[in-house]
Amino acid sequence: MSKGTPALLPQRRRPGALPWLIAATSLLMLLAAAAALALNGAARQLSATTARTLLVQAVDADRTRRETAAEDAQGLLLRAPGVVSVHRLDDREVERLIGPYINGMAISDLPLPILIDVKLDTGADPARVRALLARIPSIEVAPAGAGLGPLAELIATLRRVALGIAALAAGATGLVALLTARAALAQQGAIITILHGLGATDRQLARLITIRIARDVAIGAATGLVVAFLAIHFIGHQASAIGAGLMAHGFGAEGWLLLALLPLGLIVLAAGATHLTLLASLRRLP
Amino acid sequence: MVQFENVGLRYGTGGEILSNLSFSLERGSFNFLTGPSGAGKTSLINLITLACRPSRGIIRLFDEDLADLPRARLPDLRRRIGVVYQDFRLVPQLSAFDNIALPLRIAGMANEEIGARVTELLDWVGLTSRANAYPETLSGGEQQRVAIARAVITRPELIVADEPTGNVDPDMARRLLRLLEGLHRGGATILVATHDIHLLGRIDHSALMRLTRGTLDFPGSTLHHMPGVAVRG
Repeated sequence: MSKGTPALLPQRRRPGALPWLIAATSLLMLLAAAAALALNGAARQLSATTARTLLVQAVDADRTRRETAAEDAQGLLLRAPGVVSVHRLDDREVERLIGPYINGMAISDLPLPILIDVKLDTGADPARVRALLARIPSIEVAPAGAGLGPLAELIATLRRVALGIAALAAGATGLVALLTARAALAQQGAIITILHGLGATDRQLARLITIRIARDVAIGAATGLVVAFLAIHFIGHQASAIGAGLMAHGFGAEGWLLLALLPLGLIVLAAGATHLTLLASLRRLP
Repeated sequence: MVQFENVGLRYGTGGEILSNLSFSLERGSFNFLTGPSGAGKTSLINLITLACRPSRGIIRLFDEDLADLPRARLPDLRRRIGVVYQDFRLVPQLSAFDNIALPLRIAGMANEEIGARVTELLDWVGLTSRANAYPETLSGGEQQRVAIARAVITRPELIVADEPTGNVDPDMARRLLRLLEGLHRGGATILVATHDIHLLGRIDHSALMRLTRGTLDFPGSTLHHMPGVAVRG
């Protein structure tokens, strides 16, 4: 005798395979979403870095004129508004930078340009700095990330792929729930007919099955979330340990919050798809 | 209470299972529906209990024309009908108590009130000690009493029983008829489908409809009198 909660349909004692399927799809979705978030962070960091950093080069072939141009540029930059730091790369730094490409030659033998790293303030306008330096002959200015365009494009593509995988996994979850609803309707056909004959409405019947499926989806999504969080944390830890550049910064508290909310969205999606499917099927009853 | 006018029923593209049925069941009447196996008794009951729609003709139930009634209102009408199915149709995974409580739960009644009503009904059908038993552990007679209790727990205006004595011994059949008679005295309209001719004379002032091959045997007449039985077609 169950006097607690109303029990129109018998509650299954074992949830079956659905939670495991949902756990797998939600794990996939969360890992893909986490990858998208991390790549998004990397893209933002890359963009911020390149937007606020300039590389100034004194390229005159004559060493003396090159040196003069570099000194003039440094002087102008130090007085320019919005410039946070000006750093001329010394010979050791240049050697470390290009050494592997010149096969042991002494850099003093080469007419290498003098390189100056310039960091700008957040609101500073790189165009103004360029205009300032244009007065000095043989000075060239390039965004520090000029060569990073292909990397930025790759990151954007990977982010789109990760988002696509996350969307596919979410769609697969909805589809699994929908097929489960149809199977439940077929399996419980005799009981549905009895309840229908006793005056149960379509909404009542649909809600009964929807609640059971949503519960299974919730169990699966929670399992997927826990495993995904452990995996992401582990990967993040490893990335930090090796100092994996752009990927080492993770995606912050908002990212974690978004990931935690995704399974809720999954449950709502699955429950909604299930409910609508059931209502459509039940409308075929007399 | 129930009115049929030239009602026909066919399943799919097959021939008519029921043809040109015209009759009415008066409010508070006790009616028998009889006929040989395959005559269409269960199909007629399915029409009356809104388990299917007619292929043609007009059915009025509780003064509502079913042809004009939106589908969303059918559950309300079904809740005003108590049905005892030939095969009982108990939910196997629910106890006797929960099976009897089903119509009340569907109607959204509070659990406390459900408990009191179900306990009262279990006592009425003599199954208090079997409240927690599941259908598979109940005898045929006990299952039938659970089905009857479930059919009457909402105090429906119309009670329909399909071959209610088909699976029970004569003693249980007499007890069942007394139960239905008691409900009839309480104001319910009763329709009992049976091929058991011995039942027919047991209720005074009852009416009889006889189906043969999907049509009523007494076309055009409104009432036929037999000893102790009023017959209508």
